[in-house]
Amino acid sequence: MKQDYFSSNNIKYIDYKDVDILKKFLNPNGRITGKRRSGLTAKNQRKLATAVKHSRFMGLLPFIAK
Amino acid sequence: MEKETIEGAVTARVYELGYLLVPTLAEEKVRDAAQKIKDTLSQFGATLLSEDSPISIDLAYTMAKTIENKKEKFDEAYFGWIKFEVLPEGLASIKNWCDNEVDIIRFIIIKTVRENTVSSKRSLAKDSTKKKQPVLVEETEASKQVIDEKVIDEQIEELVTPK
Repeated sequence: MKQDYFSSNNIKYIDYKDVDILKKFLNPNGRITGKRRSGLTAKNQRKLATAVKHSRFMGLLPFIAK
Repeated sequence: MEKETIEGAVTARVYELGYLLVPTLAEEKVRDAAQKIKDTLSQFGATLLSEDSPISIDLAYTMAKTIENKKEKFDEAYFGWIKFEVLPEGLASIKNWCDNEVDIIRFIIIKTVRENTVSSKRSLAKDSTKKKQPVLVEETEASKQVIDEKVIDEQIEELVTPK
């Protein structure tokens, strides 16, 4: 089974400013990958979604990437 | 995050204010604007915990803000953040102030934790996104292999001559 990225790196709080980490979980269109692909726990997948949405709002990540 | 005392009174909570400043500001003005935000937060009874000074970033998409009845569009901005502690009642006034601030294009107030949450260093800086130029290693005298012609000639002869 795939290991949860945040648990294995001991990241307890997923920050919206950590664009490099968040980009790992986006597909080329800028959409958040599903939990099957990301391998995250349900809890971390929800935290990731919130962080990505905050990041998009602040213009750090795109809503749609062409 | 929410700490409640026995009496039920809510104590101070940790929040983070992330903001985008207009790119038209000069370097010194950016620092002044950041200082103004900090001063205002203190004025509203907030205790500052940590911060990052505004840095210029390319926005992922064009943002618009109406300034003096004119819609201005921005492709880049100065992004900075401040982590602070304040009573939940004080937050509304901070939000109101940010809403009316002309230099702020957009801002976000989120609940966070006291500990440092950014794991990668300066991931937002403009320079980090650009591809680094490959560093050309100059050939030094030691790196140049001294080729002995005699040895090569002997090796060629060995290969050419039939056994």
